[in-house]
Amino acid sequence: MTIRAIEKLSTSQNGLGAFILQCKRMDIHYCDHSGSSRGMNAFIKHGLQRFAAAHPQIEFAVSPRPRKHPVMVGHYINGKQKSICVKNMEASQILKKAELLRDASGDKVKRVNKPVTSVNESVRGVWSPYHGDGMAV
Amino acid sequence: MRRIARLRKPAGWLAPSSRCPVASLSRAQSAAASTSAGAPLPTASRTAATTRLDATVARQVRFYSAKPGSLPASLADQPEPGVSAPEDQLAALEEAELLEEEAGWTDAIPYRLPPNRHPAERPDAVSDPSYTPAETSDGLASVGGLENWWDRPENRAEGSDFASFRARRKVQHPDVLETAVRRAVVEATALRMVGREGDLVGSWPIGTDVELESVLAQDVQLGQDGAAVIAGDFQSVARGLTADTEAAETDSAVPMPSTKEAAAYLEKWDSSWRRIPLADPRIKFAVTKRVFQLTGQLIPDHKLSDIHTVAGLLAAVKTPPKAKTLSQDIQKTKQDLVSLPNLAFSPKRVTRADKAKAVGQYKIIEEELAKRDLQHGPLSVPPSREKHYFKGSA
Repeated sequence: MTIRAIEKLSTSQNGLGAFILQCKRMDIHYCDHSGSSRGMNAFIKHGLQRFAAAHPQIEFAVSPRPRKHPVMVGHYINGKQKSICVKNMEASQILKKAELLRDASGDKVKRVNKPVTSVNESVRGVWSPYHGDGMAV
Repeated sequence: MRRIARLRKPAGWLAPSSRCPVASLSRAQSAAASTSAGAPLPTASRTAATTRLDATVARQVRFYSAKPGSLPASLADQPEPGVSAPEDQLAALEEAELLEEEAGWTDAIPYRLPPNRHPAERPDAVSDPSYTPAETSDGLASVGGLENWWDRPENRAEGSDFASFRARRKVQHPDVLETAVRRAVVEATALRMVGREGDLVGSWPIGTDVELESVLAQDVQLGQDGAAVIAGDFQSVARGLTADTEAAETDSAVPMPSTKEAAAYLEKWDSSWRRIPLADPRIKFAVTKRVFQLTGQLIPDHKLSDIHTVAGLLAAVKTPPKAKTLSQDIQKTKQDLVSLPNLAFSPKRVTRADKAKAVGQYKIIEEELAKRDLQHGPLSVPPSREKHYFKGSA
């Protein structure tokens, strides 16, 4: 009989004792008259209440931006911002974008081409040509 | 904004149009004669003189009412002068007109027209030998211009503003609106029953509180033939609609029951009156016009064709207006959204100044600007006001 380890999913805690959402504030801009804001207006009217109540740690600021396309801006605890234009989108699509902003870390989007990334220093240290036994040429 | 005076009895087009041009023509002839006698004027001044004369002609022709005594003395008292009027008569006419211009407006012209242009004498034609042309503007009198002439209150007679047919205060309470509709239906029915159908499309006096009570006390029902019938004294109601409209227009307060009184009336009335048909376009026009006059509620044209009974009219009138903005709509209907602690709803655009105010930066910016003598007023002035400043106005 094969011995199997107990399956356990790790909880992401950012290396700390509690999970902190990186998105701290979300600005929601709409226009009263332009057609590209129709979905956004519907989202504010019917979808925002549930989303905002489910995320009390995010501050939501809704304000009109007349004669402009609707935009959502996420502000992150690293001081960065992330904007998404949601023109001509349906309310359900805008909800997806709001979830994307919520889940984003605020970091720049970088290409990841290594299987493992870590912020911890290597235990082996940095190689130096002046240390160690040297190499006979 | 230029204000256009409302003439209560606009019969002024009957003013002696044959007289005015004659008088002005003779003036033009005399002016032309004096011009030709003196030094030849440049083209521009000649055009100015002609324009002035044209303006005088237009003024005389246009604004005289038919009120007795409203015509200027020059035109009312004089017999009709012909082309061959004697010179002394023409001189008297001119003097009277000048006097009138000095006196300002009259009953017929309830506003003061800008004064005529009087060009200064040419420097080489000044008769005073001690005259020396000024080289700087120091010490010269400033006479001002005609900016905002029509906005200045001293240039308009009191009460010359446009008097609207619409009620000044818009009634929006549904019960009070229903009493107004009932009043309109009763009055239109009364006029139809006494056979004064021609008055249905006329203007009715607003009436007093007593008349309002007597009209609302009438019992209007659906008759056998499908038309509305008043069981009570409909003749007194019709009589009340013949009062002097002039007197009613001056009284701007529309008698209207309070919300409690209106609710009491509604309990008293049977709902069958709402089935009264409004198929007759004259009756429908009379009722909607009266509702507009009493409550300020205008039924849009596209809804008029769908209204066939009083119930339809009531539904159209009582429907609350659509919210103009999303923020108004949410403030009215989505209080659970606005009351969330982590959500801030701004009814207006959030500007840079608002953001600076939120963090207490705004006062510091203003202080620093004032210290450098760069900005003395508040920063958040609208662009139109800024344009005003740039043009040099305070």
